[in-house]
Amino acid sequence: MSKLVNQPVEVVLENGFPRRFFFHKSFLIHHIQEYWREAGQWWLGETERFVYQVVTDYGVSELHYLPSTDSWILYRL
Amino acid sequence: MFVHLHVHSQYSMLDGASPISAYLEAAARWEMPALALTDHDNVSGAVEFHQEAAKLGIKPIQGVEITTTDGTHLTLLAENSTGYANICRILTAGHTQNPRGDCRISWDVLSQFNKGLIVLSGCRRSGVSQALLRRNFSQAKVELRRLIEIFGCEQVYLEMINSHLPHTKYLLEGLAALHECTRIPLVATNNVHYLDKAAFPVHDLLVCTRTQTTLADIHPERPLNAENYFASPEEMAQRFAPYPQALASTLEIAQRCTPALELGQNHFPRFLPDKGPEAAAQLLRELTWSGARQRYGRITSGLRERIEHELRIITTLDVADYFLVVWDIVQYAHKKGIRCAGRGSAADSVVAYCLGLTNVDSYARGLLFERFLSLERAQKPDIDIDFDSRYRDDIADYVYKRYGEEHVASVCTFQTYHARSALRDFGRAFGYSQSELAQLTKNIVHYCPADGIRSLLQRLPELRRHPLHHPKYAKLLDYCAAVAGFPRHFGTHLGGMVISAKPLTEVTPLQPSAKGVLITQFDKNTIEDLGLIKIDLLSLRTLAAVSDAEQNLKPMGFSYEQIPQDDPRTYARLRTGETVGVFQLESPAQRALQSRLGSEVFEDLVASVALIRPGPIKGDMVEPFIARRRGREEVSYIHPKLRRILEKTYGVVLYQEQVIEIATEIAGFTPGESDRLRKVMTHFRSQKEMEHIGEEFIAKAVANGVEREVAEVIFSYIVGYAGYGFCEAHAAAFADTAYRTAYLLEHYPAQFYAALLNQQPMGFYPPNTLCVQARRRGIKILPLDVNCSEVDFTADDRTIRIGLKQVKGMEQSFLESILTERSRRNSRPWKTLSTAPMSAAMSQKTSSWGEHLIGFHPTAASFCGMFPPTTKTNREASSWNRRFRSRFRTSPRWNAG
Repeated sequence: MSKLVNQPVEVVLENGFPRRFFFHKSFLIHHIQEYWREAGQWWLGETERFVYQVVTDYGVSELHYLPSTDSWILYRL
Repeated sequence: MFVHLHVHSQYSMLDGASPISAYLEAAARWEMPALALTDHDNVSGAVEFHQEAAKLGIKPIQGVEITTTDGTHLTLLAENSTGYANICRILTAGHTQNPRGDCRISWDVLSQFNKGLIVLSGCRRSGVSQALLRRNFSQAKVELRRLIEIFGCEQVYLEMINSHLPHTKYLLEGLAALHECTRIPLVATNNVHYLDKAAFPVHDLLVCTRTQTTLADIHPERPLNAENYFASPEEMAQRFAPYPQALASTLEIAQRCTPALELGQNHFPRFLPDKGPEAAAQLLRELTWSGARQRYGRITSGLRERIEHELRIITTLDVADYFLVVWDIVQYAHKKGIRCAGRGSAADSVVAYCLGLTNVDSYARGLLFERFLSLERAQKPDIDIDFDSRYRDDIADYVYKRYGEEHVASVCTFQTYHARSALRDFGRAFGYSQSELAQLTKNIVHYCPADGIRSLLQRLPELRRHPLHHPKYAKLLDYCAAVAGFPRHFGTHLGGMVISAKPLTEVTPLQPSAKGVLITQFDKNTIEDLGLIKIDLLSLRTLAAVSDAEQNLKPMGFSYEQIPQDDPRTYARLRTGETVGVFQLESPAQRALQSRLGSEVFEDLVASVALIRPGPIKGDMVEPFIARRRGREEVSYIHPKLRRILEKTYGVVLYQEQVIEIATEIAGFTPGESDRLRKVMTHFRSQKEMEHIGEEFIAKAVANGVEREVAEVIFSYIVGYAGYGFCEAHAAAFADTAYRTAYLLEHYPAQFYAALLNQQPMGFYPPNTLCVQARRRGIKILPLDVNCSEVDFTADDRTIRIGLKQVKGMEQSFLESILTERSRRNSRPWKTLSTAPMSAAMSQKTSSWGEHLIGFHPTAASFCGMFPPTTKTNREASSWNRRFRSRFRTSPRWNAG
């Protein structure tokens, strides 16, 4: 089971890909399971986002990268 | 280096958000040697693509994305002209073997027409990709093997699309594994649906329109992201870095393909198939001179020169066969007694007049043949013929039988986005209510292009408080502007047909129209470039009414063809403005114009027909024309060169011919450029296009020595005229019919009104109005009477009798039984309700026609001639009538009296 978080997080990159993120504690990313891009609800002003489904010690998490603000969101943990 | 091989343009109809030209410009910028066009289920953009690509030095690869009978997608590319012909055959089969709008191709059809095609395994909806996404590798191999068996391993490529969707990595790895197993090469595409990310919202809105959803709805066909754009070669190299061979394959395919379209050929059939073109030219010459002797009697040297000039151009352009084919159709109509009349620019031709194709003497009117056909433009001729509407389908049948079903088809039209349709479609996708949509489109004129809404809002005072001024609609207006002129769906040209020497399916795919006839996938503008020539066989109810009236008037020695040309009573009638029923001159605006203009000569009618059109009205040309014609205003010209061109129309731009001449004289446009201006002006699909040609006009006029301000004013005349305008020849052809119907109205009103009533629905007014007008002329409208009424309306000098066919729901069998019985009785009237047809009507009291026949009039009008007012039977009929009325609440359609 994962839970919806949808909060900004700090992400450490390695070769341009997320390697570690911090949400109350540090999560080491073992590998990126899936990656895709979403246009979002553009008609409501949402911008494009890159979705990374990553595997950590605590299971699968979903990180969203927002290129328009160069920021990261932990969407699901 | 990379070449895009899977690209959807605006011709993908609600699934492509950028025009062909935008892709080609980008391809040229990135120095792509070739480009493929693969619209869904059609090749409608093929000609435009071929021509535009050639201008930019890019090799056009014709293709299509098809849907197979099992619902999977497949990308086909034409390696050569054989491949293109096979795409046409495949699409025709898919369209004709399935319900309209659901083109599905069977594997058998693909096996049958497999030559000259390169096959890309397809997008995510392909059989191979679907199997891989289901993690069924062996099924993917089966799907691939099927393609190899049909097309051969040399022709098949595994299509890789990296558009950053979920499971893309797995899909690409699966395709690479298939490549390892089978050695079928990989090829990279981006399944392009729009030029760049900025155009993605437009694509999403188009998909919403296609799927009839709103933006808030979830639908499997809605795109998840904005990655299917026309990516640069660098970006594609980045996306396919692990698969360099997939990028290399794009170039390999581009090298293998040759331009598949062969434009500039003539596929029109030879009228004399066993003989060469010279024989057709000779026959045309003989027929023309024979017609000229009949039409003119004496041939002057000027006329001889004009006819020779026309024949020379016709022969040089090798279109004598076209004239002969049309002549043959008109001959058939004459033989069958079907009335017809030519219209359009063909009326510029003396040859057409001599052949009896038109009734406008273009020599006497000084009309320019080059507007119809010229060596410089080298365009194909386009002859439009109106036929009596009752028999137009008979004429079409004749053409099908004469040339063969495989060689004849109707021409399609593209219903394109204009302001109102774009606002409606996109507004609906945004989730606006019907009432809000009605508000948004209110007062937006129908001819406004989708990219001209803002300027319209600024220009028209009545739109100052229009809701579209609200900032929340700003984006909507941008999206509407982006689809200006995009085709939305196919339509059928009213009368356009093409005839081909070779089977049509080798030149164009065919698909069924809503009416059921097969239509081409190219419209009248592009069909010519493919070597096909359109013939317009139109249906005109006025001609049916005219024939009907003439039939009635024959015993009085009347002949429609012998109507005197300058009848003072006819002009007097026109000047009263009481012209209800007159062809083209009956609208309220025309009636008002007639009384103000004071038509005295035929030339006034020609001008009238051209004046009351959106173009001249929008351009404020009506008032100056009337004032100048009546001598109340001085005629002035902003530039001396305009005098010769506009003298005939008192300095007002009224005809298309004048626009062409202005462009040539003022801006020094070549005939080709002038014709492009005429087309832009006539269709006015895009504000941008108009602005672009305006800049060109002004720049060339300035270079030609005209002051900039003057050039701008002259172009503003042309812009004002844009939308809809007539060519003079067309206006003259219509004016001829208008004058003749006015003559009928003046001299034989009862017969003419009866004929008009028989052809309803037609014209501007409902039947009641026609009856009122007839009564104003002292004509009595007699009620329906089973003893007197014929099938249709009948008339004598002062009366019109309602026909039996007017009874709502009347069955043909009963109608015939009445007439048979009546003739058997030798016109002895029925006196009681118990006689055969009467009791039949009574017994049909539950059927609609029985009820209407009896309940037609408050006093049972159908039987009113039968009974004196106080007899028992009349009371009986009235009683029926009351009972039916209370049960069915019927209302009479005609007000007799």
